Amino acid sequence: MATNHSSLGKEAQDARRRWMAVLAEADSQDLQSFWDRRENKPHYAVMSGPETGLLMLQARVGGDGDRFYVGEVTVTRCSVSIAEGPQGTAMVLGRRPRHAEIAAVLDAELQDPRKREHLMTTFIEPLARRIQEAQRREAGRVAATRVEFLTMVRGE
Amino acid sequence: MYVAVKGGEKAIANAHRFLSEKRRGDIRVPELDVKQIQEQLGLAVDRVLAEGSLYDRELAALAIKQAQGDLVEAAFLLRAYRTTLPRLGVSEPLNTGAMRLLRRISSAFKDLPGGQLLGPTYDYTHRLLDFSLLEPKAVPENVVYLADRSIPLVHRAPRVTDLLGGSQLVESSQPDDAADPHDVTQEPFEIPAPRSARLQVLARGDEGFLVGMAYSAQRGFGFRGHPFVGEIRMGYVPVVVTIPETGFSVTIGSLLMTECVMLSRREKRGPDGSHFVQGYGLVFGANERKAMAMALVDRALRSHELGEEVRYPAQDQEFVLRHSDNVEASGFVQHLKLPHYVDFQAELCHVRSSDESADSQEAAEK
Repeated sequence: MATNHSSLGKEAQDARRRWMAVLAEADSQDLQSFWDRRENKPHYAVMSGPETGLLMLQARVGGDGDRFYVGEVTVTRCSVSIAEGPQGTAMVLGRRPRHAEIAAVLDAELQDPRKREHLMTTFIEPLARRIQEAQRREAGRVAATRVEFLTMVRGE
Repeated sequence: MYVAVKGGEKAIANAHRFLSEKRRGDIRVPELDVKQIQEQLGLAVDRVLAEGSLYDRELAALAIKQAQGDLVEAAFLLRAYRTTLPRLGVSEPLNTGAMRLLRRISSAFKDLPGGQLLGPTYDYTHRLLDFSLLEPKAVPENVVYLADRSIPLVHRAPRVTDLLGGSQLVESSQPDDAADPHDVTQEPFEIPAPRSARLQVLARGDEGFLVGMAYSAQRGFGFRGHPFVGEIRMGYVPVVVTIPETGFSVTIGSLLMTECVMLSRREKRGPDGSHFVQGYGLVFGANERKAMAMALVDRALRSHELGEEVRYPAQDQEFVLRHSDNVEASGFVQHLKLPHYVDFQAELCHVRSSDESADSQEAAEK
């Protein structure tokens, strides 16, 4: 197996965790259009998937107490390997086979130090900026609904 | 006794064709797009994915379209679809404290750190029909917000229970992660059910039933004392999962959820000296009414473990947990419309023969 996670240092693991999160959370259309525009797409073999199934979600009573199951969500996962390179893997929310496959290929390539910097600049950073921008816009609207209730003391 | 009936294949096929025509309605009106339902009937989608116990907005919208807007039927469709998928894993416990907030209020604490955020709410509207919505707008409206000294949102708003932690006012929650929670989708539960099973049942339970139960408890058919909304928060909760191929946990996105912590006095002071206990509600989607009802019913169902007398339906686990699932409930209620000809014949025969024997007995006595 090419997944040598035991040899991955903490820093490398955190970096991978971050790009995997950005790839999973990216808008499917954004990811697809970034992918379509790319030249020299890599050759890869699909090892498993893309497969859609259920992820059972655990929660905690009161937010911090004992665990319970709150319900399930659809997820799609995919694993690929690129020629003479590491394996890539992805799990994304929803039924999005194409999204999971592209994310898995990019995860494999990003583990290759020769390709990483280029892919971080062309894929991960712009996708992360779009996610942040959308969140920032929404946070502004939420902040506009902040309310300060005053308690009135009835005069004698 | 159930006796099979045969026949009617053509009539049934035609009934379903008729149904699909009725579902489409007047063909001069453009057909609804699933995307439109997803975007513009979001609260219906939220109810269906909560009661269908499957978070998939597109499928919930499809189910609503297929069921002609019958939300209980739509939840049933989603539950049925769910059974066709393999389970790929279990998430790490959701951290609702890391929720990206759309709304967050407390009716117990006026000045809570992080602020009170109304978010997109129907509260404080006048419930007057808005006739401007009768005609679709040619161009999307450019919504202008009122200018205010808006303080930016805090990255993470502490939960009210975190703020009270250590004060010994509210019961403390020491998580015990030794045993896995009960999963009612895999294993039937017994009464009394552990709180994990109860909360899972309530999270997928029928909103109408839970609101009715919660209302009954509030009106005096439940626990004593006035419940307070410690906090309601609605927003996006990150989903973290350990992917087997990597061996470490990754955030794979976030889901819209509503959480409610209801605080109420306990009759006897707790072993930790606490005066208040929590009722907890956590529901998929923007589902505030249900999250609040869930928290109240959870509180009522804790009566037994808190040493309170169980007198009313809302406190009775058997009553609440066995009747809150709308797939089960509507199935059993509606099975009565299926042919029961033999059963009814049997009842008729029984009545006639008992009448006859009563008549002959009367005749003999005369």
